[in-house]
Amino acid sequence: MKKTILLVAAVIFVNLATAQIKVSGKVTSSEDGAPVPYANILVKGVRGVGATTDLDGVYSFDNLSRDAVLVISYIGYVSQEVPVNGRSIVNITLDVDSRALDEVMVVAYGTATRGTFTGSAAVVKSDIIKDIPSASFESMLQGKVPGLKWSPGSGQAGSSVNMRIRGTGSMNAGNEPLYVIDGVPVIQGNVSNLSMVSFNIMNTLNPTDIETFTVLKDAAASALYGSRAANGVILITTKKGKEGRLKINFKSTLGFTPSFAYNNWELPTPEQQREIYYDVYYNQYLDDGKTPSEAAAHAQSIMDTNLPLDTRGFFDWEDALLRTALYQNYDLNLSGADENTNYFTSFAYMREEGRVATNNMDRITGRLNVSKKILKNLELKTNISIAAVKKDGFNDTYNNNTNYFLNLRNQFFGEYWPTYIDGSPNTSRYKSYAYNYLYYDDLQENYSKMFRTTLNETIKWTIIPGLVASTLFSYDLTRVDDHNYYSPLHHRGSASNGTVSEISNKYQKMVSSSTINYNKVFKGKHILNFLAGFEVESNNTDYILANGTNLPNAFSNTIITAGATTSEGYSWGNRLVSLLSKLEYSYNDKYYVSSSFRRDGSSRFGANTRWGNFWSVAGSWRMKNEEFLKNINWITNLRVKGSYGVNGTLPSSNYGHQALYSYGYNYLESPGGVVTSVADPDLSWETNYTFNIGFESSFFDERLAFNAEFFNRDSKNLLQDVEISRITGFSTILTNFGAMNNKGVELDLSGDIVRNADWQWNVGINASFINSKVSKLYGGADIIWYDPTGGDKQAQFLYSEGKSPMSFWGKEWAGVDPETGNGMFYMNNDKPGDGTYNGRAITYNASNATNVITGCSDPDVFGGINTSLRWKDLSLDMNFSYSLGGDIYNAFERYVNDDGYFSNRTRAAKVVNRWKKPGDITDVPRITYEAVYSFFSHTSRWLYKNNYIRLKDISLSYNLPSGLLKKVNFSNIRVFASATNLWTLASQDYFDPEGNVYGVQSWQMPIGKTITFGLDITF
Amino acid sequence: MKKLLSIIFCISVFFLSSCDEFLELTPTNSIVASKALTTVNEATVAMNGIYNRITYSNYYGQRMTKYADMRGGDLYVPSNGRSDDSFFLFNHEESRNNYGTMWDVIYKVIMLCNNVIENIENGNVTTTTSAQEAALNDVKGQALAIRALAHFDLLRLYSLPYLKSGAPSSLGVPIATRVIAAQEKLIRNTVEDVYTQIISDLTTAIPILKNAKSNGRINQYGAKAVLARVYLYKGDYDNAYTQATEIINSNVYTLYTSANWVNSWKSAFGSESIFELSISTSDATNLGNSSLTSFYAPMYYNSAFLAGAVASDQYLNLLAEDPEDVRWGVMDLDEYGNPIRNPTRSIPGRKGWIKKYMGDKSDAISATNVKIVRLSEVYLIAAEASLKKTTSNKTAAVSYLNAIRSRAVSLPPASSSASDEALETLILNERSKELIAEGHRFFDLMRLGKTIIFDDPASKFNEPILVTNGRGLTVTWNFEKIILPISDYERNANPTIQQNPGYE
Repeated sequence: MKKTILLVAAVIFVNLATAQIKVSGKVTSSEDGAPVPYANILVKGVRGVGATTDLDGVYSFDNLSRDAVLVISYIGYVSQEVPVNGRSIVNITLDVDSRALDEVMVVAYGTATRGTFTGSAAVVKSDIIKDIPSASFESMLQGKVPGLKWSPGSGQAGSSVNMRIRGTGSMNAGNEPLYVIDGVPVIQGNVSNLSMVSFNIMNTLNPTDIETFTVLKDAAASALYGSRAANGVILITTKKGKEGRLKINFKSTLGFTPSFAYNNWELPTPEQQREIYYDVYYNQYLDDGKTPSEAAAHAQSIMDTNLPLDTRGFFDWEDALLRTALYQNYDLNLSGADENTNYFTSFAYMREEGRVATNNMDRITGRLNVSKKILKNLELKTNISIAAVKKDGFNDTYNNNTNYFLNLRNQFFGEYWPTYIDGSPNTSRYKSYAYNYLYYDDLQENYSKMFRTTLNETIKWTIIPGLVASTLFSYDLTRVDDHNYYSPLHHRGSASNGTVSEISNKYQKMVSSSTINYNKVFKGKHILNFLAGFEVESNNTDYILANGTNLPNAFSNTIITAGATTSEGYSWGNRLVSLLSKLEYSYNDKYYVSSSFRRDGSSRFGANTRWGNFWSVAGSWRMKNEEFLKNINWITNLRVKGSYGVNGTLPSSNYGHQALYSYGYNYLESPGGVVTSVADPDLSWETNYTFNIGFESSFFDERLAFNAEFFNRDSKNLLQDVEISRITGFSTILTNFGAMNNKGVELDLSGDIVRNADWQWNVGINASFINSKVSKLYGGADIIWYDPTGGDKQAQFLYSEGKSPMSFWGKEWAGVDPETGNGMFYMNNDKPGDGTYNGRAITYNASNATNVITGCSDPDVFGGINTSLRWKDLSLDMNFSYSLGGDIYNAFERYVNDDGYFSNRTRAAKVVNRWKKPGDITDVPRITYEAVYSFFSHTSRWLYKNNYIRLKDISLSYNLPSGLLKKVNFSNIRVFASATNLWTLASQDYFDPEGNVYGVQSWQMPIGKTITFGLDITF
Repeated sequence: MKKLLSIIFCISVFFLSSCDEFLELTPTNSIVASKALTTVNEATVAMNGIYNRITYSNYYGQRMTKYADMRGGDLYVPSNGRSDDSFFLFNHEESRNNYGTMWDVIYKVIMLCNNVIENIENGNVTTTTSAQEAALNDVKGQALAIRALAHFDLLRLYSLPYLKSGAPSSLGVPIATRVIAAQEKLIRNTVEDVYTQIISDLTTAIPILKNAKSNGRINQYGAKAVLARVYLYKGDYDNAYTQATEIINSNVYTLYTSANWVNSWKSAFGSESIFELSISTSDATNLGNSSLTSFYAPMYYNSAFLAGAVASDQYLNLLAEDPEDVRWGVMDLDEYGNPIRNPTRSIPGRKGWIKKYMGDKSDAISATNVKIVRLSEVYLIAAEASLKKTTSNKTAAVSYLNAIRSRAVSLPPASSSASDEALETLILNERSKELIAEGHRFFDLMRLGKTIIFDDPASKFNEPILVTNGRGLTVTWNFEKIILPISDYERNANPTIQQNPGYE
């Protein structure tokens, strides 16, 4: 019996053996011909037999049936079945799966497939923004990422911007997301030391060098960045070469900004302006009890004195001070790759002018990204970038000595001429106290120069297939040199016979990060991924200031020429040490779970609170891959996901936990020191608890896609500057106390309305509904706070439990009394006031009324509408952004619609429609020099409903037919035209509806409308 | 792989064990506050820091100095919106125009003084020689004297004049004689208590302070001068007399002669300067556009400036008693007297620009020292105290007064045969003439319950200043807004602190 069995077995074995052959081959990608490592190769119908390609994409089977069918699969590629047909070498080319849900995206410390990623993240590819003229990339994300809100700081070239991801989660510690470029957290924000001129460090990154953005929104996506991730993370990946021969690309863009994007308190005609001016003084005398003829004589005499007509007519200040700004950008990049080497280099020059003649930004950037396999399993990668950026700017704050826009709208009468009749320049102040820029601009210099080099060095060692150790070292050196010079003839230099300041800031950031990653597929169904790492980060800033006064002549602009000099300098910084880990598991492409853990130690805290733990758990279920949906072909994808986790925010203060004693408070040329801070030694990071549920679906082979996410973000232990009695010598102490909550829904719907060989038309719309509220404050006490931009408390807000953090706080405007023309405010207290209106007590003087919450700058919904239309080689892309609901506060209107109080200033066209006689129904009160000061209070008179939609960018491009190109040896030539902010529809027509991040619009330079033309050539 | 993991583990352990040290950082311009005062030199450094703070524009650098001049009728504000016109208009409210930053800065100075005093008293500062001991005592004396001055200034800003009926038991200011912890909420002591504390601090300070002339710092005579002034405000003329005459009789300081009086404003630390604050560009104490220089200088002189005030007609008329008065030497054409291309607003020859802060031109013009106490004031204190002390001595009073009055070279000397009232008026007028722009007039009139007259006729200038919600043309100590409100910043954080009447 035994023999029989053995015999049968032997026969079968021999039979099989005779049918077996040895098969090997190489798997490459159809896109660039590069080998595909780690591809899975199974044999159809045979259990337990399989292979994985090595780093060169090579696989082999020793014993394979001659008629076996190989099933090759790899993430990001379309799976293929290939019959062996007796061949011993079977080379396979895998097609890239262009489906969005199979796209590989960069995530925290690695990559993931979009369709399987458990966290909440959005990817923006640089293709769709490549033609938009902008010095920095941030504005391009507006309207394209649900939950992300971008705000311009100023229309000045080079200014810094603000981003908010999923609302406002902090009062004190910053709300900006963390920026990570090629795996390294980078220096971000404003780096200039010139007062009130911001200079965005992201200007050093050439948008053309960017391949993709990934915006990480929930804890599962971002918790690996731990104590810095609560406000979301923006991952930026720069370009690399594509397999194939050397590719040379040259792109040139020229553009111009002829006007602002929207109205900005347009002026009335000079004649109307004179009429308003006259009324101010005429009404003053009537208010003083004088007769109309006395009033007329008084007003006329003041007109004759203060606003005499010039024989040359009216001077056009707008025309003299604003220009059609030019934009130019030249990009040259070389890239390529073969099996072992990958390179991308770029060199670019950009010049962006502001509409004010003194505002320009010049930039030269260069980049070299190289990776090289020095051994089969050892890869070295170097990214080097260099940027030199210069910004010439001007002070954007409320300052009637420096702010051009403010002066144009509020201080330059057409009667003022820059020269006297004899042609000599007017060097004295005008009656409105404005200075003559056309004279003074040549007597000053005000610029920042930024020089940045970054060096990232990565070594990646594949120890065995699936186990990869990698270590990264990054060094970022940014040097910012500010130069500020006023000639002795300049009004700002005359008091000290000329001044010149040089301020140097050297920012150094070092990051060392080492990770080990293990990826294993068990039994073809279980995929396990484990990552562990260690990271150290050190930041240091060296600051030096040299200041000189008493200059020898009107043109010496360097310190050495100064008769008196002072200097100062010191350094500060912070450090972070972290351990991190991530574990992911998936089963059969259906169930995914992941978790992450990071432990951060920060120098910003004392020994008690230094270390913090941050973690997340997440899961997703890919329903489409279940048996019951697998065969429903019109459903392409169906998935739900959820996550919960904790991440944090570090305080903006480096040393907030310790009471410091600082030097530099000198006296009699001897050193002096003072206690500069009072501290809470138990100060800690802010903690965010984020819960996220997402639903993803696509249908009809991805022609229609719909995604929805719900999130709840509880921010606790918020750092709060708690007001303390000034008798202590301090005004506030930084303490962890407050709490806020943001919850919201993000919807994203897109569809290919037309999809055929010649025509493709895609439309996408996204909408974010975010509800923010303050949930806890110290002692339950409300906190009044002010918009910190502009430097003069331009808008007043209230943090109050249960209310939005963006609640405007002030007096409630009741309108203009039709009988008297006075502005009215509701009392909102139990005092009687000056009368009643709409059945409520009102007062003519805002200071008698009680503050209430008058509105809120949070929109009900905001988002974008994006469409792209292609016909053969012609394509048209449009991106709209919109915002509905919510209020915007105009802090400038109190100057340009001041009821006559600031008598010697110009007023907006709106004032033409002022109250003039009893019965007039208007929202502009009667003007008089005796005006009650109410217009200067924070009131809802300056609050507007803010609904708008704006065509952020539009671009039209045409690829020259390839047949033609082959003759001239170009691989591609593309011509394009694009425009930003071309069209805006808003619920008010006085000022630009895209306010700052607090929902305030003011006297900062408005943003412009830019039109560009470009040529893009690839060899 | 095991090897690699163990390497990583080892590196991690190594780093983490040294992490705590790696994570201890301070900026290079600072040290931890608890370790800052251990040597005599460091105590001096801390004292320098206090003087530096006193030069801030919210204290003696500008506001404290101009406050009394703007409110006392000697100055006139030409148009709405000039620097701190609320001082002139008295339109203070709890929530605005409350000048809470003055309160904040003065209490900061007090906190810094207390920090120095506590560190010395707790023995944190080590001394090895008797010279060091004396130096340390001097520092402590300076801190005590400045603490007293700061409390006195707070009283002058926030509390009723001592001699007003009921004032001694009315709301003074919170006394801070130690470093106040962050969460403490002090309430106001009575005016009497604060005076007692001020006098106690000064009398403790005087014996331990050095008595040599000390440029830029407060010495024994500085403390005595402040004490004399405190007694004068309190109506304790006997003690005021004692302190003032001790300074005069010490002969450490001498009056400027009429010949060099004008030039004394162009140099630092003159023979009269008992306590003069040093303001210089090299210490970064130069306040530029928030300096006293910029407050008084007209735009025609320098387009960077816009005078906040000019001398009033009544002041100019008083000074015009003697056209030869040497003090005309610091008066110059104001914006009405020299209006460039502005003929209709001109008042030809009007010399309302007070040039006490134009410096010696060696540094930035705005870096001009501020004289907190000088000998002329001490003479006038001595004159007033001689007149009013228990045993009045008119001869002495007239003698001290005439030492200053002689600067009006054509005026006859005051006579001891004049009535008490007439002499008091002469002394007050002399204080006005001599001490204008040095921060006295309003306080002088208020401490004695006099009436302030504002001569701001609307017809004179074509942009009349608007007095809405503020004062009338006269102000007496019965007007509630002669003292500032406690700002709502303080009241929000410290709700039990009492508000001044009229601001609730």
